[in-house]
Amino acid sequence: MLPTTNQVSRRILVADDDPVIRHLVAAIVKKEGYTTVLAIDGREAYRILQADADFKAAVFDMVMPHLEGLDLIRYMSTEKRLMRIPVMMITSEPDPNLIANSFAAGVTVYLSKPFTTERLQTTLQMLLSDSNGTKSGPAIQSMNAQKPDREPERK
Amino acid sequence: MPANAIVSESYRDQEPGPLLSEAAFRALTQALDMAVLTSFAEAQLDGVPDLIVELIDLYLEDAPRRLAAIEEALARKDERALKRAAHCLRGSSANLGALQVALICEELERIECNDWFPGVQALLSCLEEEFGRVRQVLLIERQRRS
Repeated sequence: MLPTTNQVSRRILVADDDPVIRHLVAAIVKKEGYTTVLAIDGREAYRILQADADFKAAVFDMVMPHLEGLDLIRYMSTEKRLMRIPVMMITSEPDPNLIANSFAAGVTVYLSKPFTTERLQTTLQMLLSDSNGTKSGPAIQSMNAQKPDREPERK
Repeated sequence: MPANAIVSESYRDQEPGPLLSEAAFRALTQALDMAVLTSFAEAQLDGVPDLIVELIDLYLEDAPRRLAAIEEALARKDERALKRAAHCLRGSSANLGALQVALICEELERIECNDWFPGVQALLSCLEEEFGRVRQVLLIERQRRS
């Protein structure tokens, strides 16, 4: 089990349009002692975040229909109540520019597919390592520096 | 059940099938790295359904939809839709140990757009064949765990 870093919330938002990866990530997150809120794509994650900021962290797939992971992060960077939520980005894209853009947009940690249980656990520990639950290092600097380049889709 | 027996094409209606030739069995065992799939048993919680079976079921439900999406995109010559479906199938396949399926999907994502129909059609045929092998292996594992 991971050390408790925030007694208020143990909920982690997981957004991935791939049901296999979504279920796998959720299982591993639950194994670590957290509860999960699942979104089937970026648009559903966006709707959840509009109404609910009570998350310890978020795990997003980079490529999702309607709204991609980076768009979600850019939206989160404009909302004070969401800025504190650290984000793990999962992707099978090995493109270094894409990874750099992810960090510039505010991603806290990055996990490439395929991943093992241990790698996801380790990355989750990195994501939640800040005991006061706030983002740290280059992610928060970049997050403040970059505004979203387009509005998320709305229904 | 013998290790080299296959089950019905429909994984919802499992029946032991005929024994496979050595070559066919070898092709099946190379289709999926079972150690990758079963490693996720580490994440199994007590008192809930078998995670590996759930992953197999989800994959066997989702992958044919992605294959169909690739086929439809090919018919429409919709490059973006084709590559998106291939991308998604690559991610889950690689993560569960279906490395050949993942590699073919990667090729589909990279294929040049100019005069791409014959190349994509050939890759799609390979993909369907390889997915058939993966499905057989997964069905065997699913039955073993049930």
